[in-house]
Amino acid sequence: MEGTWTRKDLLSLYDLDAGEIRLILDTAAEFKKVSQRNVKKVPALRGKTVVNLFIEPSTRTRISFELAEQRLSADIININADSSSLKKGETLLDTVKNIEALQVDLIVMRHSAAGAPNFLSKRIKAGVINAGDGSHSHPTQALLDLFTIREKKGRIEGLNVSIIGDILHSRVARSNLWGLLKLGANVTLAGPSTLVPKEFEKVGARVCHNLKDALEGADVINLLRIQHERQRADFFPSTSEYARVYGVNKETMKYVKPDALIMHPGPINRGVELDSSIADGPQSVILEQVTNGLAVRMAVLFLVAGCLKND
Amino acid sequence: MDLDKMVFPANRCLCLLSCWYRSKKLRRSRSFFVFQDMNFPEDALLLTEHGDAPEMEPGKTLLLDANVMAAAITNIAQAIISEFPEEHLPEIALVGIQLRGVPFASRLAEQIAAKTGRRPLCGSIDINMYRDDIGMRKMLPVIRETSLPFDVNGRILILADDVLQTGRTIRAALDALNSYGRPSLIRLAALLDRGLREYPIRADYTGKLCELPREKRIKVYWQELDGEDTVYTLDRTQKT
Repeated sequence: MEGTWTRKDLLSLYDLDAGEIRLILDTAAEFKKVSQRNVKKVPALRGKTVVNLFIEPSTRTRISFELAEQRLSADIININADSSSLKKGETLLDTVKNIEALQVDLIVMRHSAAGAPNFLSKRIKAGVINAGDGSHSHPTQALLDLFTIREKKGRIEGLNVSIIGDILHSRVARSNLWGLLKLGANVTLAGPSTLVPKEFEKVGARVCHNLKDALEGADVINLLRIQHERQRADFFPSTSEYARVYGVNKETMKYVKPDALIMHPGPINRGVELDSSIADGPQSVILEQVTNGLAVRMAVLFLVAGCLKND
Repeated sequence: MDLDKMVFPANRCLCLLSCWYRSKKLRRSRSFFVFQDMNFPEDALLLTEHGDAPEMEPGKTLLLDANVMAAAITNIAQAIISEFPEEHLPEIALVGIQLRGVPFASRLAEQIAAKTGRRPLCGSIDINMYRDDIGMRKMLPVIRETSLPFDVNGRILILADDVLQTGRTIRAALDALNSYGRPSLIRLAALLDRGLREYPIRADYTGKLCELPREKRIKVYWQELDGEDTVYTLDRTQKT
């Protein structure tokens, strides 16, 4: 096992080196076994308090973090945007400073503004784990994708990974891109030219606007939802046209290698980016991604908590 | 070049050579001739002069050699066989505590197999999820594999660790085992017992007793991990 962990925050995979990413994945492999036991709980975070601060709606990620925290024996507080004083005009920093005054150890945070977790991490003593910030970063999602790929394919280096969909607005795509490139995969980003800017070529990804090119030769196909909530203009004519040109279905599956993995971070818009028959088909690892998400989040919480200093 | 006649402070130099050697992962052959064939790194020699190599293990002194280790392991294996009637042997599983208890467990299994013709089951356990000092250590522990390829319920488990000191690791290991089921019996085998207990825990089988001052650290090297079977004492540089 390589790499050492010295960070009190996990903000973006961009900050990590390959050794640190592998350390998280190796640690997660052991935490995955915990959830397969009869007793699905370890005392690793006993006595620590974790606040789940979700300023933007989330089910999957929030439940996954909550369960991960419970399985590590941490104490949990959940704060949602609509039930917090942010509604009354309090600033984010004030809210968090007040939370910190209650001696909490970790803050798991989702926010619609890119960089909000980075902003906080520099101003508070508690550890900050980014659970998604705007279109910027979603490190634990990328880590669970990497974990799933490594578990299924045995490696990441040298694999051809295609990420297809709304790349422009996707924090999942950005986080995956950093993680995959650092671990030596070949990354293709595909979708309509309005949603897949050529600029991504500068960091080492292949950009294409043709679904067939993205599917052929790919070992892993990661499909993304069109993020209507982040789009301020029309980036393509209609959802049905997007489905016709970029949707993965029985017809377009003929370009896909029989051993390629079909992945999706969820929520799926069935019949748009991914057809039901494929989402529930033999090549799909979508539900295993969810299972692995728990293990990866336990590993991240464990590592980050271990770097907090007891006073 | 006749290395026997060289005038380096012998202890320090040997220690440095072995560090460099391990870092190069050339663990098989430790003959001096190999050193001559290879380019000895100049900075390593420099560090000998200054005496502050970052990888140096200060105060490294031989405590037990391979023969004494092997004899201690054989004695423990014999003690285990003597304690349990033959019909109970299939119920026994050896559980090595990561990292350096794992080779110990498999050596014990080999010895028991040699004496009874039946190799007991072997597993490994990592205790880092069960520690009581998260956030108090300088270094974050690395979680290694826990593998218990048998049903723990009703089984006779022999927990194996290389060095027994405070007893805190054993406390954590007992908690960890508890999460996997309810063994009928747990025994503890320690290759070395160095005293300094902080918990009311003692070993059922002990290879060697060696009372050492707190400032000394014991490190057990295993062929499988380090390329040699040896026990060294070292000066404790930081609280670990």
